Amino acid sequence: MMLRALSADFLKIRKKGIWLLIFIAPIGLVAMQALNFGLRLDYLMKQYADDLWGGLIENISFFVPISLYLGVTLVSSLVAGVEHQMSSWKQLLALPISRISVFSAKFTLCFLVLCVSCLLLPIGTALLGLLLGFGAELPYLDLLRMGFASFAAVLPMLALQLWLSLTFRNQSMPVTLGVGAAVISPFTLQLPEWFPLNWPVYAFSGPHAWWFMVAGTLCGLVIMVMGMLHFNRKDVD
Amino acid sequence: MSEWIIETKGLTKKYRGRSAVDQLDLNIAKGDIYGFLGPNGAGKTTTIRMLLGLIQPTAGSISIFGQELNKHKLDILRRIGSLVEYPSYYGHLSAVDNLEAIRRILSVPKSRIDEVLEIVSLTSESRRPVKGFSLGMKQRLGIAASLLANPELLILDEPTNGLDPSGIHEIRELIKSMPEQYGITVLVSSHLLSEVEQMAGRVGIIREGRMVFQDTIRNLKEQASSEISLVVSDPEAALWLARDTGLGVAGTVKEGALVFPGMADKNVPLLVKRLVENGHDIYRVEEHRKSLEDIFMQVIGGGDRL
Repeated sequence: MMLRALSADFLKIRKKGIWLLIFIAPIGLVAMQALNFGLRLDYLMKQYADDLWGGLIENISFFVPISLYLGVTLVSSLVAGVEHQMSSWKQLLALPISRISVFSAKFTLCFLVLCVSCLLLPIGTALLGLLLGFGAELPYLDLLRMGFASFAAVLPMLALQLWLSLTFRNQSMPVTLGVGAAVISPFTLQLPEWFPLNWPVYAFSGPHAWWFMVAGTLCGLVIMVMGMLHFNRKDVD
Repeated sequence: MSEWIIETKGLTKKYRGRSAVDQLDLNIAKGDIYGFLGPNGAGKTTTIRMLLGLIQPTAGSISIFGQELNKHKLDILRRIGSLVEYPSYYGHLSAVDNLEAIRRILSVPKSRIDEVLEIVSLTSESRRPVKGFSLGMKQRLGIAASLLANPELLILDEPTNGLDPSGIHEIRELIKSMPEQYGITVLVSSHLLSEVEQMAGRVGIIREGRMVFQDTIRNLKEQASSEISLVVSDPEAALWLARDTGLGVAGTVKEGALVFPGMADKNVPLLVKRLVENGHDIYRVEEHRKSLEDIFMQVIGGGDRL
């Protein structure tokens, strides 16, 4: 049942700019570093001489958490907006499909398209590294961790944003919250590492990165279930 | 009429203590077109949303196809097609893609899309984005979507709202054909009696959340009493004479005319003859029948209107 709703959802997000966002974000991050390394290649080559790939990944990873916060916010809002726009909820939820399936499908949709971004990022990074002549010994694990480790830690935010976006017809509240979180996230690094907005950073670069990935996944699941239960009971106007 | 497709008992929905729907008992028979009437804000849409499981009733029970709605919601919804208020659609998608998005959830064969587009005559426009459609076309697309799953029951909330006369006519003909051609029971709500009287068998009239009338259109019409009015040269004298005839008719003088409510046919010529014989000039003899609209206003007005 969930898969049927998911397949319908993939149809609905066509021409909504979601795919554009999914492709633009990782390409933009890589392009930014292409510019950075392109302008001062000699200096940076010297600085990262013992680990060229590590240097590139580190530079890109600075911007991954903030991009994820923005991505999670915008994707949730766009996915929910498809139904809010012409108040399609009353039509969708009067179909013979459980609300749990509808909610799960929306969550899965957001999760999958964001995974595409997280996959495009290492591919783009690898291409850039190869182009700059960093050698063919690709650090595969680190490349993949760059996107996906932080994504796991940002799942609670995805669950929360999707819940809010689905609940409120007016998207300004959830979008403000999400963008606000993205904007302040670099500054909260001065707070202890357990502070939730810091999880994406420590899930990639901390001494016990696994903790934050696991905590993010579990916390995300809990919030998703809460959102699902609320969605299952709420009145549809 | 023992088999009810929809039966509600004591259905109530309260918002912050105010009852939007209050103790509603709805009975809809199989194969009927049921007109659900009431002024704006009377609780029609709230009732329909409860029937579709979109909102939870505060109290009361809903049984559709003989099953409890809250226990067999998905089984029941599988057999219902619905259109709630203004049309729902995905503007950036074409008519076909809109239906496809719904079809994927219903998992009915793809050929159904062409069939329902044919029924609502949208086949030629099916590839255009829906945001460019006229309201009537969007409404027809909504009906097409509601027919996609071959429903046994169609619930249409104000399907003709905002349409022009030809659009209204088109939708009305479409609805009328449903029970005949496809054996579908239809619940159609409206705030206009005139719109429903031409298609519905039974009507329910709701006012401030309460059912104030539920019966056949024919019985509603029978409530329409008629009165005979006579315009004569000297109404006052004629009235005295009429009371004196022994016909037992009680009339009044209203705006210079004699008015006799509910007068039997056989008494009319007797009265006229008597008046003529006594030298009264009779200019006009008229029958006034209350229109359904008058009765509707009377029923929904309930006497406590300002």
